[in-house]
This record gives sequence, structure tokens and C-alpha cells, in this order.
Amino acid sequence: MKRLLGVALGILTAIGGFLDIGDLVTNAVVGSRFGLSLAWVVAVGVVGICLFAQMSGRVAAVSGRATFEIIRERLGPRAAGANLTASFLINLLTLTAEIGGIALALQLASSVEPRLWIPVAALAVWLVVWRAKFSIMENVTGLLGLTLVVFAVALFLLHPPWGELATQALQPTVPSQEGHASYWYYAIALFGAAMTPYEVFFFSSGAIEERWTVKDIGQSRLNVLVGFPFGGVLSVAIAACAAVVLLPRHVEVSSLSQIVLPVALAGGKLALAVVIVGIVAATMGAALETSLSSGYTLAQFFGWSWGKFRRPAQAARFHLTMIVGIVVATGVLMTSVDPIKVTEFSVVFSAVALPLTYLPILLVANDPEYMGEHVNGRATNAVALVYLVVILAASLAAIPLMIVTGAGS
Amino acid sequence: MLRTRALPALVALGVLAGCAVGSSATPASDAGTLGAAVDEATSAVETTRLAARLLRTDRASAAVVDTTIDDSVHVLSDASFAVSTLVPGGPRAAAWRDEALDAVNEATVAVARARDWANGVGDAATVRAALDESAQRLDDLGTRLERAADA
Repeated sequence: MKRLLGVALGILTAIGGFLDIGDLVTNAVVGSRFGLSLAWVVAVGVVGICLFAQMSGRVAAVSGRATFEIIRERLGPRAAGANLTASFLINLLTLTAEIGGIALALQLASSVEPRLWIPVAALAVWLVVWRAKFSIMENVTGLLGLTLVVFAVALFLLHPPWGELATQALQPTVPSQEGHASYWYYAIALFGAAMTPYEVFFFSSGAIEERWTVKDIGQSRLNVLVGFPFGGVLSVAIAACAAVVLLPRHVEVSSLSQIVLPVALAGGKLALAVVIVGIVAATMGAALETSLSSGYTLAQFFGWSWGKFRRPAQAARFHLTMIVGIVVATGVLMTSVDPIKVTEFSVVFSAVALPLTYLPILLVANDPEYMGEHVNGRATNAVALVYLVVILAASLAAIPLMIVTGAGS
Repeated sequence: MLRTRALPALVALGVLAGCAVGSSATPASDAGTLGAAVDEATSAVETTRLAARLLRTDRASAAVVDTTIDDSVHVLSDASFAVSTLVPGGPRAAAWRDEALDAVNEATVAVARARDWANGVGDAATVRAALDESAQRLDDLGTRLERAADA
């Protein structure tokens, strides 16, 4: 019974923890401009993150090493150093977006200016990474993040034209008012939002934090293969709410406040309160994961002592890295930069950096020296190679498309 | 040797000339630029109309509506900047620019009054009428600009 509860909790936290500010914003922007014609990208992204997280979790459980320890071992210090720099900076950009997201969500609850919430949000993130236990932190934010199911409930309450939505999703076409370049730019942004590298740093390092062994591979696979697809369904529900309410009114999403309007229209004040709780939880959870990921990547690369299972005094440089990351993100946000713009850039650059972590994990997942009998099977490798091509194509096309479309504007 | 040195200088001069103030834009490209700004303004007004409706029907809190309208004011400010900084390529585009600027300014007033109402100042019917009128004007102008851009 205890084991069953553990599995259920793992799946629920995977669903609740799937969404972050990048998913919220990108899906709503896409829904308000392209309807559900990019829903297929969410499906591609979800399969990709399932594959990637499942491989990195298995590598961590079998080899006992997290992502950046392996990257340094496989690539050598120089190439791995370049990889670390890119991954660390993109993770910092994502952390900035998430802290900004918490502040914007708190503004929705209070109408107090987000710049006053930013230091509060940053302090809360630091206090939790400093004081809270790993499992409590993960489970509380994951379970509270589940309240974002309200987007799916709102969609049903809106009585949408299901046939039309299905046609948009299953026979995707570029809307007449949008260009092909914008369509593909947002396809990459959605892909980057679903396959954010920090999720993998966090997942593999979390496996070490929670002392996974080969015995836990089955449960971790179940969490990923059930939890993430349900998270993907919530992503599509966000896009669908925007497609049903905002697209016909010619509203293009450019702020968090617009994303919650369909939910309020469908479910009134109660649904609105629930969605705000969900957004605070989702962004808080992701801010904690990105803070930890900044510490994990640097500490694992330099061989410092790391992990929340150690007291802060025993992993001082790991905690110092997180503090510096949070301070830098706060400083950037206090310049009045728009957190939504930061989010849009962070998801695109996540797609750019994806091959840097995907390729080493794929190589190690096939290396019997690390993995013994738990190397990738043929079917996994076939899918993984297809994804390698997709990830490389998205990575190479992202910046040219960003320039051509003026970042999708 | 002289040619080797002159070529990069000429390229640099060409790039700089391309960045110079002034406009060689066609009416169609001006209409496209103005149309994009009018679309932004339309989005802001429609967002405010929806938020105001939610407040009127007690489906959203005052804090959410106030934040939403505040965000719309920022969008209108960006739209106004885009319109007012356009250097038109001819008298036709200049007339569109003036009309767009007028429409965006009217939208800004309507949205600002909606925010006043959301904070307890003003009358719902007047706010609603001003938003409806602004939305209609932006819609008409946007349609004309779209046609001109496609021509």
C-alpha cells in the first residue's frame, strides 16, 4: 500500500511539476495566435522529455552519477566547460523568468506592482532551498501545481466547438494572418518549453538526492511515462482556452493577466483563485528546480560537495552558487525587464542548448561501462536517434528564425 | 590594393546609409507597420473589454482586472510609440499614421477610464460605450490598413 501511494505521489507531482512559466506563456501565446494548430509540437515535446528524463534518470540510478559529472567525464574539461557555460547561462535565464513569474502571479492576487514582489519571491525561493527537505519541496509544489487542472475544467465549462478544435489539432495549417516563419519559430519555442534542460539536470540530480538504485528504475519510468503526458494535456488545455476565448477576440497574449481570463470567464472567482494558486505553485516549483540546477551543474562539474541531503555547511559552494544565481536573477528583474519577454527568450534558448546535454546522456545511456545491462534497447535508440535529429534541427533553426521573425512579433 | 580597401568602406557606407533617418518605404510597407501597431492596440482594448465584462458580472476580482488593464495600458504605450516614430514614405502613409495615432490615443483614454471604473471611479455604461467605440474604430482602421498592405 505504501509503495502504491509512493507511485501515485510520484505521478501526481510529475503532472503538477511539468508546467512552468515557459509552458504557461508559450502555450497561451500560441493558442491566441495559432489556435491548436501547434498542438502536435506539445506531443513531440512530451515524448522527447519522457525519453530524455527516462534516460538521464536511468543513468543516474545505475551509475550513481548525475548529468554534469558524466558530461565532464565524457567530453573532457574544455568541451564540457563550454557546455557548462551555455547550460548555466540558460538555466539562469530560466530562473529569472520563473522568479518573475512568481511576482506576476502575486501581482494578480494583490494588484501590487511586481517589482515589490520580486525580492519577496527571491527570498522565499532561497529560504526553501536552504531549509526545506528535498522530498517536501518537490511534493508540495508538485501537488499544488496540480490545481492547474482548472484550465482543463475551464475548457469544458466554456463549451468549445470540439470539432473545430480537433480539426485545428489534427489537420494543422498556418493561419492566414500568420507567416510560416512565425509558425515554425513558435513550434521551436513550444518544443523548448516542453524540453527544458533544467528539468533533466533536476531529474538526474534528484535521483541521486533520493538515492535511487536500479530497483527504482521502474517507478521513475512510470512517473515519467504517466506524469509528463498528463502535464502535456494541461499544456494543450491552456492553448485551447486561449484559442476559444482570446483568438476570436483578436487578443494576442503578452501578459500573464490575459492567460487567466478564460478561466475566470468559465469558472468565475473561485476558478480564478485556484488558477492563481496553481501559477504561484508551478513557478515557485520551477524556480526551486532551476536554483538547485544552477548549484548542481556547477558543483558536479567542479567536483564540489553538493546535494540537499547534506547540511549547507557541508556543501557551502553548492549553496553559494544558488544564492548568487538568485541574486543575479533578482537584479536582472529589478531593472524592470519584462518577465514575459525573458520567458519567451528562455524557452527558445533552451531549444538552442538542448543538444549540449542530450547527446552526452544518449552516449552514456549506450555505454556498458557505465550502464552494464541497463543500456538503451534498440527501440529506445531508434526513437532517441530520431529525436537527436529533431533536437539538432530545432537548435540550428531557432536563432535564424528569431532574427527573421523579430522574436515572433 | 586601393580596390581592396575601398570595397569594405563602400559596404560600410551602404550599411550606414540603410540605417539613416528618413524613409524610402512604400505605402504598402507603411500600412503593414501601422497595421501591426493597430492590431496591438486592438488586442489591448479587447482584453480590457473582456476584463471589464468579468468585473461587471462578478466573475473576476478587482485585483485581477486592475492588473489586466494596467498591462493593456503598457501595450497601448508600445503601440503609440510604434505609430508615432514611423517616418511615412508619402502623404498617404502620413494620413494613415495620423489616423492610427488618433485611434490609439482614443483607445488609451478609453482603457484608462476603464481602469478608473475598476477602482471605483466613473460609470460602467460610459466606460463600456467608449471601449466599444474604440474597438470599432480600431477594427475599421485595421481592416483598411490590411487591405492597403496586401495591395
